[in-house]
Amino acid sequence: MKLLSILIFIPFLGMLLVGVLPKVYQNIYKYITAGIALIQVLLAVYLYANFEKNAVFQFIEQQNWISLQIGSLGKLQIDYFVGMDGISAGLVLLSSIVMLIASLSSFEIKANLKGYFILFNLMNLAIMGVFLSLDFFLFYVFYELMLLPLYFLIGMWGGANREYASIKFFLYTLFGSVFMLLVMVGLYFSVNDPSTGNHTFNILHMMNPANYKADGFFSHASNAMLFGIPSRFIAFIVLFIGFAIKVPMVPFHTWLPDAHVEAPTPISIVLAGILLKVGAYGIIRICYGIFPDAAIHYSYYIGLMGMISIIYGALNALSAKDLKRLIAYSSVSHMGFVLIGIASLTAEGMNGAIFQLFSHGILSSMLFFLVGVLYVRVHDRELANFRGLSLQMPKYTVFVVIAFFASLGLPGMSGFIGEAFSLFGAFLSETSNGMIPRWMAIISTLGILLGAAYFLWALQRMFFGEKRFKLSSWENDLTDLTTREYIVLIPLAISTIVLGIFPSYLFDWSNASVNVLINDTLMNGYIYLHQYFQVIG
Amino acid sequence: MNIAESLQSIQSSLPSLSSEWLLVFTFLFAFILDVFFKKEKIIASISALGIIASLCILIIQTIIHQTDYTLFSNFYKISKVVLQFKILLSVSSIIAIIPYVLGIFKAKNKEFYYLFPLLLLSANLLSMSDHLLSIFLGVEFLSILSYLYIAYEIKSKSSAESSSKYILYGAFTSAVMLYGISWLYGLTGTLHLGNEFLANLSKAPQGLVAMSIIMFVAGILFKISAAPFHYYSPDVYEGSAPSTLAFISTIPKIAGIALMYNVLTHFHFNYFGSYLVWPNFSWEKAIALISIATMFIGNLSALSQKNLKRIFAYSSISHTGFLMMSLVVFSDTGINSLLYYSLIYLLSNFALFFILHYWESNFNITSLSQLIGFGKQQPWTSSMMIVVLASLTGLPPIAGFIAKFFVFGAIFQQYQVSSSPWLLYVLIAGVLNTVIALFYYFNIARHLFLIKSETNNEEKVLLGNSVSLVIIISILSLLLIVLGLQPISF
Repeated sequence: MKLLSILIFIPFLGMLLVGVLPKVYQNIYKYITAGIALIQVLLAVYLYANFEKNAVFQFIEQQNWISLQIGSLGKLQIDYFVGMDGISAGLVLLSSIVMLIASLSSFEIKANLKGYFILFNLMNLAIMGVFLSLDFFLFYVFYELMLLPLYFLIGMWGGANREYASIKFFLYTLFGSVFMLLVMVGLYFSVNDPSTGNHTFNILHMMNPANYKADGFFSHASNAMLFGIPSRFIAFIVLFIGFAIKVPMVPFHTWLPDAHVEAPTPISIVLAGILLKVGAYGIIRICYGIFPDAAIHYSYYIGLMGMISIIYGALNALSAKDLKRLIAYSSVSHMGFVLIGIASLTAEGMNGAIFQLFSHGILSSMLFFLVGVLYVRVHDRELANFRGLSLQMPKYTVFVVIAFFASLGLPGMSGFIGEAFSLFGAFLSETSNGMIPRWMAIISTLGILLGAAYFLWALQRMFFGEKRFKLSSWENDLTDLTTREYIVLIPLAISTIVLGIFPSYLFDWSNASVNVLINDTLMNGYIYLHQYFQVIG
Repeated sequence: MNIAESLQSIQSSLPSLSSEWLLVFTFLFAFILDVFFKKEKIIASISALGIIASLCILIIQTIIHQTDYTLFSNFYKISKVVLQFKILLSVSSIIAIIPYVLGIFKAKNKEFYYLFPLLLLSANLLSMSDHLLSIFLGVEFLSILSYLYIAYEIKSKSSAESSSKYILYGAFTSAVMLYGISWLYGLTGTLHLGNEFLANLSKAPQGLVAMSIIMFVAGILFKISAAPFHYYSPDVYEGSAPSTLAFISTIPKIAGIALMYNVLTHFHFNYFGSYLVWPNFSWEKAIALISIATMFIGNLSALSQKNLKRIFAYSSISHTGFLMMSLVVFSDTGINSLLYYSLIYLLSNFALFFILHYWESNFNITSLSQLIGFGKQQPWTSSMMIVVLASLTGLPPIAGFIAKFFVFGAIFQQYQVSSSPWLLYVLIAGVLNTVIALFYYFNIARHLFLIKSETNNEEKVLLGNSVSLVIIISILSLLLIVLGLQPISF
């Protein structure tokens, strides 16, 4: 059963259905989309449950997609190659869950429903494809395919400054991706498929140095240099920057506050919940998988930028006046933990980073949804305009408290596990593999303190104390949670607590793949680095 | 060369040009029928049938093609690549004439229809040229027909301006080109671009050779609107009807690129050997420079334009830059990527100008600001426009991306072997220009969909015969999506 293909392409069915149904039925569009997302969640849970907890790629489907005869130099062979391993298993499950949350949140969209749901389903398709594709060309196609629907989704249904935010997002991300295209072409010409002898885009073959042509531009034995830096290192830098824009890593994060704040709530949920993870996944799968030598060489700087992201994101969140902006910057800060966990190249750090990806996905979806709850009632998000919300909307406050405390890293909830393990890895790194120094980890722990500061301060300002709103009419508008909102928030709250107490639900799946990745990176990375430095003398 | 040999060469060459003969015959037949029949549809259909028949002959010729050969004592050359260019030209002519046959576009007089086979004929002859004289004849023939089509209906001051600019600029450039050709003849003693020509050229004084080659190449670059000879293009596009622009922006350009390929094949840097003894001159660098300049000038100038046709004129200029990029590398992969890019370029351009014509004739839309909120009025054609814009930018999974990918691949393949820095600069320029182009293409999308208009627009009902135009646009856009998912092989 081609389960992965069904998982990826079932939103296309949603697109067709929404496309052909006439405007009279426009109330059904949201149910169709939510239904498709529900099917994806069920499928993802099934796949996750039947995933064997080892490092092998599972549910593989490989088929010939494009095969063209170009010139006299053989065939252009691109395969439709999808598969899931421990690193992507959790992320696929996360994407399906976040998509379901976003489709439920999309019930509040009122204008241009047909266009919205067609674009939403297209985005769904692209996101699933990114996490599952194992062929670089296919990965790139899905990666870029996400951008077009997001441009329109942010730009048409967003807030006041949406045009600026959407084109900034599109240009910034495309800038990173087009350079990735060049590296992809270069890797294609440097790698041979061992079975057919043609060039290939297969990521698994690219990870194996035996498949590189001796005179390939990105081969391990090549002494090609660009601007004085070896070719493989340049490739790593270019790919890393492309993905770092998405992560987002300081200083490439400036698109994020605008995009998140101006996007409508469901799209903010998708942006924060899944899109940021695509960047981190790209770093792990492609940068670390294919270029372990450069990964070791640059791990100090990656750790440094991760640490800067944590502190800088947290400081910006502390100064935010708009609740959505606060949460957007807290995303920058939390993704910094992911980066420092990846840079540490220890089992704890990597597992913690992947756990943090999942946990942050759940929590940021919850946080943006909670902001949306307020916004849909009074169209205002400023922290100063609300006070004493706990007296007005007590049940809402319960969920806000859970979300905020989980995000800042209270033990017992998933945020703690993610942050703690990333930091364990960072601390361990100096003594175990010497990747990042201990002071980076020490400074990063300040990020937890800052996180507590901005979250608790926002909580105190908005929710506690006497009731005082900007407009007195708000006392009537601010009703407590509706059934649909409960349906969204309760599972999210439960999952964050469950994961906080039973982290093995994620760790057991990712551990084997992470161990293989770390061993390969450290062992092979050093071997190639030695080879390289011997070659250049 | 004595008389008997010439006669023999002419006699043996005639059958190879059977598709061209068919076009001439179609023209004459339609010309005569014009006297007897009043209905336009008959004349248009006959022209279309002639073009389709010549395409069939070309396809048969391509399939049975074995070795390259020359015709009429080195006047024309037939090779696989030339045949493929001719097929592309015939396909563009068919797409161009179909709306006229179906009655969607109307021409003032019936001459318009039966000059179409002649336009295709001139483009075919130009793409086969291997001899300086046939190049000049081809350029003049194609230019005169282009002037005719641009100046066909002078409805306003703007169209009068654009046609007169085109004619004057073109005539001047042809004169300069002829002067360059005469110098080349003077320096080498032969008009055939071959070994003798190159050998003599390398013995001539370098300054004179440089001047004459620059003048000669100026004519070619004018035809394909490459920098620095692109200045006429936006003004010409602004004043013409989009239905005319659809084929005027594709047929001469593809013919010009084919001509560039023919000329460069002789000069190209893979077999310098003893012919080109200019150690400091590198065609690779020259073409790369022209390509980079064209791309940047085209894209950067488009950023501030407000008239839709001018935006797309500059976008055509930047696509020329991209086409020239694949001429930098003269490998098999490079030429295949050039052909593929030309195919996608012509499909996107036709879809684009048909949409512009639909908007201009039914809603009087000429400038960018008129598009505000238009997406709500015409959702289907606006969505098709988004597909075309995505193809022009090069976003996956639409065909434009595959075309750009092939071009990048061909250049990188050569870079891996030769490590020439100009190839790297061309790659980086191509990539940066994709990002710059994204801005002005999606500026159109922004006006269509994102900016909320002041007036309350209802969805307009499609008018009369425009339904068939929308169907043609939809087929072309669908083709772009399909070719993006499953590229065809040449």
